[in-house]
Formats: sequence, structure tokens, C-alpha cells
Amino acid sequence: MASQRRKKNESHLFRYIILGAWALFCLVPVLWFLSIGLRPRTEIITQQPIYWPHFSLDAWHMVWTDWPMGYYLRNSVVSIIGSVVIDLVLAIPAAYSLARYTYRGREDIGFYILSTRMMAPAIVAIPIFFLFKNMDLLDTVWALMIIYAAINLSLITWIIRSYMLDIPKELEDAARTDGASDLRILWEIIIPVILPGIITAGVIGAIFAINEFLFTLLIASTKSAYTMSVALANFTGGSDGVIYNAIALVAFIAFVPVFLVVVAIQKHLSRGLTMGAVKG
Amino acid sequence: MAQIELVGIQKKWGAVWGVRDVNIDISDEEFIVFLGPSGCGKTTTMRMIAGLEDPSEGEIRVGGERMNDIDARDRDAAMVFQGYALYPNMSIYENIRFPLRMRKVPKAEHDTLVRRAADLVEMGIISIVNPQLCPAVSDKELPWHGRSCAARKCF
Ligand SMILES: Nc1ncnc2c1ncn2[C@@H]1O[C@H](COP(=O)(O)OP(=O)(O)OP(=O)(O)O)[C@@H](O)[C@H]1O
Ligand SMILES: [Mg+2]
Repeated sequence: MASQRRKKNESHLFRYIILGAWALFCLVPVLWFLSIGLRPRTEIITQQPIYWPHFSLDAWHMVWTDWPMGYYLRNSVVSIIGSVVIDLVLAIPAAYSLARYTYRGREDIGFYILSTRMMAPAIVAIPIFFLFKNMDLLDTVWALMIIYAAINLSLITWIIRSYMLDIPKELEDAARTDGASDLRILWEIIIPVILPGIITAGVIGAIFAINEFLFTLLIASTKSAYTMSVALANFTGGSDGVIYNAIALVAFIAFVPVFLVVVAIQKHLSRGLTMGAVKG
Repeated sequence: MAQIELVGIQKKWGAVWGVRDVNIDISDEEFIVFLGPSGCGKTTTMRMIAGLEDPSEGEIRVGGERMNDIDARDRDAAMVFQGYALYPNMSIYENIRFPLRMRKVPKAEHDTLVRRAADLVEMGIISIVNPQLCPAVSDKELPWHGRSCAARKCF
């Protein structure tokens, strides 16, 4: 038997190799974009292989001066943060109701909420366009905020609901016998306990929102409401051809905020859920 | 403390019997033990007294007053749960203080009351020396888990 026992470190090494390879696989496209973005335009489309790429900030200057990239980035950030806030305010009570109260049609309502996610978005594109036109909200970040919130609401509700279902019922019963009302229980116990889950749901919503393209394109028809995703698409049609290095750089810049958010909340994303709330 | 009467209490979930025809009269300050095999309805009976479960039939009286329709939060019943149910987002001290906050006891009295409750279950040292101590610090069951849960009910 002894010969078959492996040292602990050996299996760790194996794990590192696999995870390292996977990390590299995910990272290469991102670094590739950065490298394209920081090279002169002439070097990007060429027949000859380049062994010593040249460094150039052409695209960088172009992105911040010729285009109001900072403004687009601001549009993205404002509309996304706004939409996530709207979603959390609506989703937390909805999820609590779906997770804890029993009433007729609860399952159906829950499924209805989820099913709004199953429809192909293009089906409602035109009605939504006229809706926002009549509300005089075209070309505003408010419209984007509402659209993103509507798109993500069902998913965020369901994620939060599933976290709430994992909270032991006893915890709430204890609070109730302690004299807490439903709202108190939600505010003082449920929300703090599932905070990592709420943050996770918010981040997932934000990632969906930053990648959203169809409705953003529909609503943001002038530059005043362009977001990163739509601005990116518009770079392809310049008078002097496709400016690949600028596109690559913008794509990289669009990636950075998401990356920073995920790094900042990583601790919460992986934290244990009820943190050992109920023993025995 | 008060006198508790259960009159013809029954609990059914669909076709499942939880509790069947319980009649008890517990007088004030009487110490009572429910003993029985697993699944015979001990917990369910206590949950009905605390107001966490509605009896399908029968009447619960506390101090002669019918309690059936009174919400759990207004019954002022203290219950220690099988799984302790400590709030993992709060320190032990805050766990013990929680019912005081919910029942709107004046803030100035909290500290004294919390300490007295902690002393009653002989865990005064833990809650006073380290008020930030949180039930979540350990996954293992520790002696003060049960005690702090009990302390919470000592007011
Ligand atoms: N929410 C519920 N829905 C359906 N049946 C239930 C529910 N809660 C309890 N029961 C059933 O009611 C019966 C009594 O349960 P109870 O928890 O009161 O038993 P107990 O005496 O506390 O058991 P133990 O000693 O294992 O704690 C059991 O058969 C249980 O399966
Ligand atoms: Mg039991």
C-alpha cells in the first residue's frame, strides 16, 4: 500500500499546472488586445510576421482625444450602477417573498419572472424603441438604466432567492420569537447574512449590462448616450478604414472596470454562505 | 412566566400528522419535560406554543388568554432552538442584545441586562472580555454556542 500513497504536494503541483494553464488560456486574448492596442497601426495588418513589435501610444491618444471615450465610459458606469441599484431594491423584497411566504400562485409568479429571461430580446426591440420614444427618453442614460434593470431583474431575483432559500428557517423563527417584524428580519438578518450573494448577483448583473448591445444601440442613437459597447462598434466604420489598434485598446479599457470590480469583491464572491449559522 | 394550557391541540400537514390531540396544563413556574421518540411531535408542540406554527385544531392559552391568533413576535415566548440559530452576522454580545432592541427596551439598560443574562448561563467572561466575538468564528460546536443562545432568552 505504501508505494501507492502520494505526497500531498504532488497533487497540489498538478492542480497548479491545470489552473495555471486555464488562467493563461483566459488571459491571452486580453493581453493580445492590449498588445494590439499599443502598437502602431501599420504593424497590425501586414503580411510579414513581426518579431520585434514597436510600441506606440497612437491609439491611446486617439481614443482619449479624438473620441470622448471618457464620456462613454462614464455613460456605461452610470447606467450600469444605476440599473444594479434599481434591481437590488426591487429584487430583494421580491426574492424574500418568493422564498419565504406561501401564497397561491407563488411558483407560477416565480416562474413567470424567470421566463421573461427566456424570450429572444429582439422580439420586443421595436415596441421598446417606441415606448422610450414616447417617453422622450431616447438618447439618455436614464433609458439605458431602465433597460438594463429590466433585462437583469429576473436573473438577480432568482439568484438572491436561491441564497435566501439556503438560510435555515430556524434563524428567522428565532428572530420572530425575539420580537422582530418581517422587515426587521429582512434588514437585520437576511440581508447581512446573504450579503456575499447579493454582491455576486449585482456583479453578474453589471457584467450582463456592460455587454448589452442590442438595446443600447437602439436607444443610444447619438453620441450623448453611447456606452463602451456601442462606441466600440462604431469605430469599425471610419473614413480611413478600420482602426484596429484603437478598437483593441477600447475593448481593453472596457474590460478594466469589470476586472477591478471582480478583484475588489473577490473575497465576497467565494465566501461561505451561512458561515456556520446553525450547528447540531 | 405564566400558566400555559393546551386544549385538544392537533397539527396536520395534509395527511401527515405532526401532533395528535395534546392536552396539557402547565402551571406557573412549573418545570416540564417533553420526552419521546424522534418525530413524535415535541418540537412541533413547542413551535405552536411559541406561535411559529398554527395548530390545525385546539386552543392555546397563556395565563388564561387565547393565543391562537397572536403573532409569534407578540407572544413573548422564549425558545431555544435545536440548531441554536445564532445570528451569524452579529457578535455574541449583539446576539444576546437582539431581543432587547426588538422589544424597544431603553438603550441605557441593555448592557446591564446582557451581562446579567450572560452571567445566568455562566458565560459572562466570554461576552464581556470579547464583545466582538462572533458565532461565525468557528464551524465547530463550542460550549458557548448553546449558552449564548440560551442567554438570548433570559430576559
Ligand atoms: N413542516 C412540516 N411539514 C410536514 N411534516 C412535518 C413538518 N414538520 C414536522 N413534520 C412531521 O411532524 C412530525 C413531528 O415532528 P417534530 O419535529 O415535532 O418531532 P420531534 O419530536 O421534535 O422529533 P426529534 O426528536 O427528532 O426532534 C414528524 O413526523 C415530522 O416528519
Ligand atoms: Mg425536535
